[in-house]
Amino acid sequence: MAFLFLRYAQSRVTNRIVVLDLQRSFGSLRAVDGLSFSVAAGEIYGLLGPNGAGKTTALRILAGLLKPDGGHAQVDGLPVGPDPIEIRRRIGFLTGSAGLYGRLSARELLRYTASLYGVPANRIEARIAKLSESLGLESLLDRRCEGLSTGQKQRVSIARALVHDPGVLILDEPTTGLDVIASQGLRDAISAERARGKAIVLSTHYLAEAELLCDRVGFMHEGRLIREGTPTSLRAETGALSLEAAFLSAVGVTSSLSGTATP
Amino acid sequence: MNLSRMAFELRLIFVKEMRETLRDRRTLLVMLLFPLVVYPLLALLSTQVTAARESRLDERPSRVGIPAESPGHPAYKTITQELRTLTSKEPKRFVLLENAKAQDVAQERIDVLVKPMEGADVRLRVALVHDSARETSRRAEARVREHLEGQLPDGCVLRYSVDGEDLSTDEARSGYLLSRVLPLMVVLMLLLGAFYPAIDATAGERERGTLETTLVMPVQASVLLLAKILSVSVIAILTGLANLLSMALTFVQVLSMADPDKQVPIPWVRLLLATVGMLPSAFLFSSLMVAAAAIARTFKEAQNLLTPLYSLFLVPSVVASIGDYPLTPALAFVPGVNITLYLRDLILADAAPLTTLLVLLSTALYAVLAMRLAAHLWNPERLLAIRDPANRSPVATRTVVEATITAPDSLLAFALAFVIFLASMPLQMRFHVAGLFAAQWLGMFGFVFVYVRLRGWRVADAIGWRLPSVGAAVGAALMGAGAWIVVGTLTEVVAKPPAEVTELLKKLLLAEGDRPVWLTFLLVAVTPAICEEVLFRGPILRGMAGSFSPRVAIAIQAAMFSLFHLDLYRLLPTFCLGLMLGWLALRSRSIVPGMVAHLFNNGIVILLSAYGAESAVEKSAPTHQFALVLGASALVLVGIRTVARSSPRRSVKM
Repeated sequence: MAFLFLRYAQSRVTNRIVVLDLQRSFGSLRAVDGLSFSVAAGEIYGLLGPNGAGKTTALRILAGLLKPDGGHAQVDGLPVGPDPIEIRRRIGFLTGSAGLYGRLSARELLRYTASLYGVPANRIEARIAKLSESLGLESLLDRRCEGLSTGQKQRVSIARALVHDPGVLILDEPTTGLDVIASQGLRDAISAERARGKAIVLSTHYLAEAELLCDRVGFMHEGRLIREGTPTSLRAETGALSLEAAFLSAVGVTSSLSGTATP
Repeated sequence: MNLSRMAFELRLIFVKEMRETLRDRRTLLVMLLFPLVVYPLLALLSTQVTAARESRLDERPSRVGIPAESPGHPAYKTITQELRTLTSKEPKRFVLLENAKAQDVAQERIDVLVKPMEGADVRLRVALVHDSARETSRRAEARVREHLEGQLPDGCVLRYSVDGEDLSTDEARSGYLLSRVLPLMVVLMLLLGAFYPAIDATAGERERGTLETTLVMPVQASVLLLAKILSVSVIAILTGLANLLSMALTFVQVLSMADPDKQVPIPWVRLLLATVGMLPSAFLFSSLMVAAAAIARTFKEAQNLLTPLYSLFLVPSVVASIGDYPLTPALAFVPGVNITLYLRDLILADAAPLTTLLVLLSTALYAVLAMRLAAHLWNPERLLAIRDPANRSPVATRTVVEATITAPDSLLAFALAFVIFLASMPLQMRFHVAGLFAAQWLGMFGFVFVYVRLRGWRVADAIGWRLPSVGAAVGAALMGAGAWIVVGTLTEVVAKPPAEVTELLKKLLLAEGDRPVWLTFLLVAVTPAICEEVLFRGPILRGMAGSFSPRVAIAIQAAMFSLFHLDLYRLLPTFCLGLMLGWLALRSRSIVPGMVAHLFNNGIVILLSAYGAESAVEKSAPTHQFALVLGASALVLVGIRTVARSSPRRSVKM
């Protein structure tokens, strides 16, 4: 335990996100049960696991939406818990369901979000222009969000999460429901943010996606990490051909499909 | 396509749609049982209130004035004599004030001025000076007119020729007419106006998938909620204003169609004042509705939650509107009632500064409390913990299964029993004793057993049919023995029922004197102690306890218990009694202590009134009464302690 704390103290210096022995239960269900990981600036960390593994709960704790029962977590130098509002101000949060206010136009939505997150009024338009250029939103800005396609909605949604230029991005299954092309676009946008030095944590149950996008991944099962490493090292460690097979072997399920690469 | 194929598909889809609809129990409850309960309740309440209002107005003597003697006036002496005889014969209906002037009517010092007129022929001419925009004045005029026109002495020729002389202006009259309908309509419209926006702002977010986006924004929940509530209030106010305007215009249109010669002015200033009175109530309704809708998972569920809330607020408003009570400082604190009466006073240009202040302050206070509640409920922990029914985790499902009887079962039991009870009313009216016995033993006791059997529950679980500890039974007896006087005193202090209601109740208790006391005891003490307990502290309380915390369950059950009694003036006492009995049932984990307490409570009241001891208590000195209340309270407290000690706190989960 002392060793863990030492690592925690060290990692605080270099890491934007630090999670140590995090716990959270709902009634008798232990959703997060001793989770530890950290994410450095300029790094994409993937939480991988089946439905109900505790990924969403963990990310919601980091976003200041849920309180942990025990353990420590730190986001952008701030401990999670005492001041959730300050934490929320410093993160960009995105889920698979775009969560756009349908009756606002994309531009109205971005202005509203930017103002609420404290972007100075004279910089808002420039920020929106820049984001819409890099995400290809120019033609969408003055349309109501409810009329956009799923892929377009998700692009507006990324712009919403990035409008205040947060240092930390928390993405909960960001590609759910997107087609191949839209997913690729989203991955490009996330990679671009990594290049700008942001710390990014995302959850997914598409293992292929984690392999394409993440610098490091953690396999999550029943509320805790069972393996952690780079996609390549995990494959080597389990002797599996794909991350999928590596995951199945890590949770101890043997599958006739082991060894075949699936998307 | 061939016809039989079409018919087949039609039937197939129809059956599937019906199945889906009927399986949505919550909707059914709101759709069918709710109106079955609410309208009879409203009708019963309004008849009670109307009767009370009539008798209140009847009780009040009319202040009749006559002017100072004008010398040589032929009719003056006769009329004065006539009125003097009248007031001395019927001092409860008339009070005579001499040397009065017309302006005394305007200033409400008298209700009607009887003015002798010139030009008497066979009959004596009088004019009744009154203010038709004032209820008491209208009534006084009618009473005096009825009396004078009924005088038929010499040769059966009418002795008096009576003219009316109305002091009120057209504006005051239209204001009076508007004041009778407008307040209730405004409350109704504000409630309706807040209804859908409140749902849209809360449950709608979840439905549209923007809940998480909103929750993750860096703002305080209270700021967010206040903004939502304010926007809902604005919509509600706009709805209210549109209605106010449209109603005023329609009203004038209708009146001028009825009488084209008459000019009916709209009392603009008063309407403007009424809009000011609308603002805090719009805020209150919006806060409450936002708070309630914040709990719901879906739009539909929010509708099901808000519909009862909506009627809950409409009921006091209807009561206030029909009852036409004077707005006292105490009533200024009763939500719903206060705003209805206040709007009436505003339109009558009759609002006093103190009550204005109290109404506005209390409404604002309740609104802030409701807003705090809304902000408390709108917290990510709560909102995200309520899982989508579709992807509820296996563990969550298991806890639901543990409690076999839940709130919907409880509501269903209440609604069914209520409908049965209402349906048996004619029976009770016709065959007093037998009807009452049947309504209770069959409609409650029998119903519960059939209901429990049909649902396949164990009787012990659904009713709590097990032997209590001795301490619980003894404590319950003590509580029941003390409760009646504590609760009774509370009623006297908070909402004293008019004398005729008390009389009626006594008559009901004791029948017309020919019913032996033992039969009354059996009918009004033993039977309810068993039947009402089995129903209310049985499936109704236990169902609520399956879904809510014990406190909330007890409170809801007590509210149902008091509503069931269909008596406005006994709402509070029966609620308190319901709280006590509910606590007893959950704490002792048995139905028996509640029966014991109920028996003692009802039994003592019956024995006391049968032997006339109750009036002796009422007539005794205040210090004696005080000592009595103190003693009774002590009895209840000792009872509570005894029960609590003998039944250690345990999980009350069924």
